[in-house]
Amino acid sequence: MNTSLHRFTLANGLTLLVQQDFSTPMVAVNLLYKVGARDEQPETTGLAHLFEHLMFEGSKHIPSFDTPLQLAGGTNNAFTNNDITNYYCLLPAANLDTALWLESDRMLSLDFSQEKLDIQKKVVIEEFNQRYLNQPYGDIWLESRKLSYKVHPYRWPTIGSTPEHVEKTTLEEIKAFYFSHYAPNNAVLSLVGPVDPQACLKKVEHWFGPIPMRNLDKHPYPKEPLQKEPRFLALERDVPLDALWMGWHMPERTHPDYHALDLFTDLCSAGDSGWFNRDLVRKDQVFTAGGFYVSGSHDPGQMVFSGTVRPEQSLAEAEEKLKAWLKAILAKPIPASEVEKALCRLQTREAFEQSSVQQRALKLAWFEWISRAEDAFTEIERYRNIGAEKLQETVMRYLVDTNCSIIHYKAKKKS
Amino acid sequence: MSLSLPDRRKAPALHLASEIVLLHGSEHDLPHGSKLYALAGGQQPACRLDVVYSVGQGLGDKPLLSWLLSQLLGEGTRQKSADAWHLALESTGAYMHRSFSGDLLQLSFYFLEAQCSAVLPLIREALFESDFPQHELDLLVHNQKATLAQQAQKVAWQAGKKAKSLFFEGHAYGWLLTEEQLAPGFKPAALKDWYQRELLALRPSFYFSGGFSPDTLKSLHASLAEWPLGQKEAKPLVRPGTYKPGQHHVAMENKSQAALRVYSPAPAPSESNYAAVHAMLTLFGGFFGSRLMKNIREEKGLTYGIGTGFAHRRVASAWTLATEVNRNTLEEALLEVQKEARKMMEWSISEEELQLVKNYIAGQRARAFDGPFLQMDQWIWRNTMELDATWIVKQQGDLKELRPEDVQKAAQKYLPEDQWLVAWAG
Repeated sequence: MNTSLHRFTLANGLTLLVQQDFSTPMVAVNLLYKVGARDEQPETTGLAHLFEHLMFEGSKHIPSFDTPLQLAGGTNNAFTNNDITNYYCLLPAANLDTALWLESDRMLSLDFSQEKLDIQKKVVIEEFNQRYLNQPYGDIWLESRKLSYKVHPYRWPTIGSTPEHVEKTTLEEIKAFYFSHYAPNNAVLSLVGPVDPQACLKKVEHWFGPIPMRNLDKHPYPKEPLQKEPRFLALERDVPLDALWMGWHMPERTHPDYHALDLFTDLCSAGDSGWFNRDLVRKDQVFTAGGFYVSGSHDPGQMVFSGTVRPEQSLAEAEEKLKAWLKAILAKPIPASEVEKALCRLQTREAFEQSSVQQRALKLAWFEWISRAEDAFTEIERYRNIGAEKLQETVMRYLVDTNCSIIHYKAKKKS
Repeated sequence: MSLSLPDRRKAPALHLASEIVLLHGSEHDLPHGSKLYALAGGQQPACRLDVVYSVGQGLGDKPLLSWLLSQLLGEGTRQKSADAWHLALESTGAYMHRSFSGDLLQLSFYFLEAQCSAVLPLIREALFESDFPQHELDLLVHNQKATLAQQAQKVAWQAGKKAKSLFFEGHAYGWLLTEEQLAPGFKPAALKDWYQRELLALRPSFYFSGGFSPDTLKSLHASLAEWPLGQKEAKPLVRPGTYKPGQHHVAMENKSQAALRVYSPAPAPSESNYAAVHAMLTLFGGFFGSRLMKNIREEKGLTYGIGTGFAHRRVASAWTLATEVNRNTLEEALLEVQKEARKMMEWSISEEELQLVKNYIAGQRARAFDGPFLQMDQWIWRNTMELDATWIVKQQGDLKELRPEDVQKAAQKYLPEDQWLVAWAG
């Protein structure tokens, strides 16, 4: 693994990470802003994501973000989640200045306009439809948040609680959001490619250095109270098969228990030999497909199961069988060979991930935000140090009924 | 450090996208005419072995049986149950990916170099000793039907299915797996017979890429040389017949959005005007700065995304368009697409726009050849399309020489609406 890393902090608070890789002619430029959907208010959700769209609509001095980057042979995109908004470019390393010029100008200020906002609202509403409302099972991801979280802003999805929230966003709200969250002192910039760290620092100082620090709208996020009893929601929709969704609260990404829970979901669901697939899809044939995963969020998150149920099983039966199965596998020690299998898989995935400069740049920025970038290099060790016994003990503490939210997503009977 | 204020109105000097840096690949002969293609590179000890049969949906004209084969190799062998085979493979940290496309049946295995010798016997077992137990066949059929029932509710899937099946009507390229084809009662005997007669007789190709040493390659070559490789060449494919341009609707109730798909003929990558058509199609709808994205998304906000691209098969090529829009604005969106196509045909593009698209394609190519895995994908594609190693160099040269009138000519030849097969669902 390439563990070289150079870290710099500019006077305005911008963190710069540089990793050299001479096996590629391309440089990845990743700019992570520490703002996401959790920074929104309950009555104006979807703002962070809508704002991400506006970041491509022209900045103070540059009317189009994409055209200069495309002229430089580059490509770019962005994503927003509940915690962060992340922008990335991949371009020939000789044109690094172009990416820094573009990113720094949209950090300095945007070319705000009502017309641009109105168009992007329409685009986002179509995205809302395309991803969630016009897809079978699409709204399960909206409903499950409302059920699992009662206080913390994770209770709404990144796209927004409803299209109406997107629709009513005002230009003033957009501007206020920008100036209180988009700032050098709220961002991590990472560069990976055939570059010289000192030369990178000079370029980044040139483009980003003059951007002033801003007063950030940082406030404590409301803490989700401990769930004390099971929660349940029944939905009926026009879908081909019943689906079961279950979510258990779990700690944040940096908590010592995180890795055990993540490894457990790998044991259950990764690959064709994952236990869930082996036992409940293939052997007992309760589900047609499904799996477990962890949210891996900055604040306390969730371990989630979702699966589609075979028609000969009722949702109640499928839920009972899943619970009984979890109880049975946790009642006996987890075989060391299985833990080793999951670790080997993680190691292989890590090696393939490392082959992409773009993925590496994102990972470094993400770790720098949640802890420190170097932790990305030792992540595998944290999984390796868990041990089968601790793994079992940790999972048992979280997989309890009182900590669980359940959705029965029933297929509407055809008339 | 004192900071001089940058002149933000002036773009930094541009350097043309780097020439593609091709890794040094090697070709190795195996028994019965099979080949091993190897590309070493990258900093990680991560390796990928692709096993490729040139069959795709055309194997013996039985696409359903070919598809079932592609999904069931390794799902139970003469030595191991499916569970045991997967456990053995995944205990090494390896994982696999199956694909079945218009021309190829491909199994890709991902593993660390140190595990190569442990993984190879398992790949061999899957390829040559698969046993197709009834239980696995039933399970696949049942669960695939569930997946297809879900797909069938998606406007995008329905529109794509309609357009593709009509464009390649009557040909294996137009085949799509549907729920109706998966009636219960499949028996393994037919599958086993098909496997023995068709797949095992066929000559596979092997593509090895990633961070590996010469010794690993040597030992892989020696292992593969011992495998009972088939020697039959894939049957030459006949070209699809003529399609009928026109508009088709798949009615779907209660959908807030409609999906639109267009299929229309395109040149094969070997044709002399390919670079011009590639540039024309990219400018029309092939990237974020395309005319369709600008008009339909960025000016009118009608869609989250719209895009065009090539759908190349060994003996047929099409260009395609895909978008999802609100059902009430479908007609408006289609009219705008037609309007943009006419503009491409009637007006010459500016030098600036041509330069933008040239630079974008050059950068896209540099990214598509970045590292051993992406370069190997290109090599597999090139072999599938029967293009030689100089093809990409020629394309780069042709791109540089393109003039606005070449792009307009390409539009006039390939964009007329009376050639379009349009399907929408919703």
